[in-house]
Amino acid sequence: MGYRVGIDTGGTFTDIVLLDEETGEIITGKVASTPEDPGLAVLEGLRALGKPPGSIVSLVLGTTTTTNAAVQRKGAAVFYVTTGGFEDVPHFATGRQTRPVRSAVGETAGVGTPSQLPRHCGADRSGRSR
Amino acid sequence: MTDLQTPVMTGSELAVLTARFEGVARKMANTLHRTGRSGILTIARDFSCIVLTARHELVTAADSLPIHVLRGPEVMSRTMTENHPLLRRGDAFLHNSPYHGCTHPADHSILVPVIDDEGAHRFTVLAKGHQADCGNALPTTYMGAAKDVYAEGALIFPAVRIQSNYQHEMDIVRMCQMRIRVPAQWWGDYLATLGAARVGEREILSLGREIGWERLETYVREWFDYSEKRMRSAIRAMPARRLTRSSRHDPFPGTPPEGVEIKVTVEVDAEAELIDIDLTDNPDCFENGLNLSEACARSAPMIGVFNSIDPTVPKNEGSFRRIRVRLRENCAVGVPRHPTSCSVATTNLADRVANPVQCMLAELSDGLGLAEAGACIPASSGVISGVHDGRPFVNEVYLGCTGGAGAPTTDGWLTIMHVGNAGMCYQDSIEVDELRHPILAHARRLVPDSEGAGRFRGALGAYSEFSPRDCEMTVAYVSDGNFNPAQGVRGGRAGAPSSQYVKRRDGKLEPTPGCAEVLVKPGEAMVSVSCGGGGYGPPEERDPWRVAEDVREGWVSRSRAEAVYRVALTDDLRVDDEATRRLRQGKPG
Repeated sequence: MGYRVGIDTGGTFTDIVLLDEETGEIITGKVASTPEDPGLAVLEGLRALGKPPGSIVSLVLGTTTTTNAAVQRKGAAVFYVTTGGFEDVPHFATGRQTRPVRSAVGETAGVGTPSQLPRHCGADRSGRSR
Repeated sequence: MTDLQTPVMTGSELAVLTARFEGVARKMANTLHRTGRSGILTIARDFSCIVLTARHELVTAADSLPIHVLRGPEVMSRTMTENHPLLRRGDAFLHNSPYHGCTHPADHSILVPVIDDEGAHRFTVLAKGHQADCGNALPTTYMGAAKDVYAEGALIFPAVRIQSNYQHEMDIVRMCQMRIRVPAQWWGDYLATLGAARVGEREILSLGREIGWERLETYVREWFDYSEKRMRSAIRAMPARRLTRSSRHDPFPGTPPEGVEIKVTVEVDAEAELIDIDLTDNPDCFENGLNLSEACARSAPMIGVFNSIDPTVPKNEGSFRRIRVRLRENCAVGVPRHPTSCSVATTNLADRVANPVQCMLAELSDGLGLAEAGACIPASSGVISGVHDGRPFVNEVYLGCTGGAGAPTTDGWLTIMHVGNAGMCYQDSIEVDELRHPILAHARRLVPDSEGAGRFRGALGAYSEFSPRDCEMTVAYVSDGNFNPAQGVRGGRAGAPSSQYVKRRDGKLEPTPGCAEVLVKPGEAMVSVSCGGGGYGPPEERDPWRVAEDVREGWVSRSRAEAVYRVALTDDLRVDDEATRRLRQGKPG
């Protein structure tokens, strides 16, 4: 038993919610995001909860920061490092498609964006931890 | 706003109201996606949301899986009104009967009649979601070997009233909870599907009050007429011809040893602006789960047609008027008789109908049609189940399935999944799957040189490997394409076949059958290879720059580039123009 924490970092606010697994109590918080270094807002939000880090058994972070960077094409040059076997995951996400394709109904599936990550900019490191 | 008196709608009005109806379907879809419980709905998005008229005509199917919705909903809606002549606001109906218009029993659907303030039935909204489990005899929603519907075991609901006056018929709910594995998961998915339909109902009631019901009626007529006109125009531009083509499904339990050859005849009558598709010259229903429901038998060939023409032609009752599909009763790709099993109706044989249609249209003229998309359902997209830490789990996962067909102007869509899906389902997030289920994924990657080569190539196949964590796991799948890979068209080559194995503790790979429920023990792994897509056009006509890019990215080997695409590369993997010219002229390099 301990605390479960969920954090959502957006361009404007960083929202945080904490669940006390024992009592079911829920605490929410909101701090201004720090786009220049998104981690600062996350840490500030966590500190504001006033719980010792060791009592947090699960922490899930969701963020639109990377989505925004991809959509706005403002991302830096990247090199994708992953555990062996997952080097193509970014390509599954995009389909590597640049033109409309024909589809019977799925208009939204008809147009994809090219992967922002050429495959040669990926590297795998063997072994997954359990 | 009051009803406008103009007799004919302007193009702008048609466009605006079309967007409004599509918006209704998208709001329904968003509701289902955000509020469902199982991974197959909330991660993979295996659901569809549509709007029909009160006369059972499809108005919009925005963001839906084509095999779910092109045909069949009209029969489901008619079944609802025939079984329940007196419809009231607040009614909702549960429907999964493949004998009454539904795709297959795993696709639980909720129909809600939209009743105006005067009590008139105006539209029907339909939300359909593939269940993580539907109460079959085995923990899978794809019972490939089921002899009949009794061997399947799922409860069948032919438009059964599940809400009156917005209140649940709890008897029905309790029956489902006693039959469907992990009932809390089903309950969450049911509420999400019902919620999606109720959102659709609310939005259309609001639209009717704003625009006026008669005006919406005018819109529907004119939208159908416009759509039919677009379809007429698309067909008129095709060469008039009659073609027959086959596609062969792998041998499965209950099929002949050589598998199932599906023969499709397409006649394009450009003068009459009609496409006639005949599926009657095919085997009778099998004693297995591969048989198509009428919904799938009618939708599958239409998928092949719509995949082959201008994608902006609207898909609705209007454009459907120009396609005639001939079916035969008790045919494996026709109209099944109860108690024939249609457990796997949405994928395997349905794809063997859709694929030859789009290939035939490709053969009519360069620039039309598509190659064959890869067959499914590989083990990586199978239903996983077991008991972990005393708690049961069951869900269909989407760990890695690709197979897009080469097209006239572009390479195959990587994550199309299968031709009837149109790429609408998402591939799962490994991390989220591992949080939700006791599994550990070891790999998800693409398989080099598995594409069907072509001027525009098919998608590469996918390799997936995953294990149970601290428990045993059953993986149930129906993997076609082990022996009959996706064919190319117009000189394009076939994609690589699918395969599947259990990786034992010592690392040895043991092949498993194409249709199976496989028990994977702790320390072992399921290994799944999905099909590559077929290629479009001769590979030696592929732009050499594209071939070089594929080699640089590791999708295609240098030796294959030279042998199949006839493209020579320099040591830094740039196109060697002179050597390529010689290769393509058949001269020694």
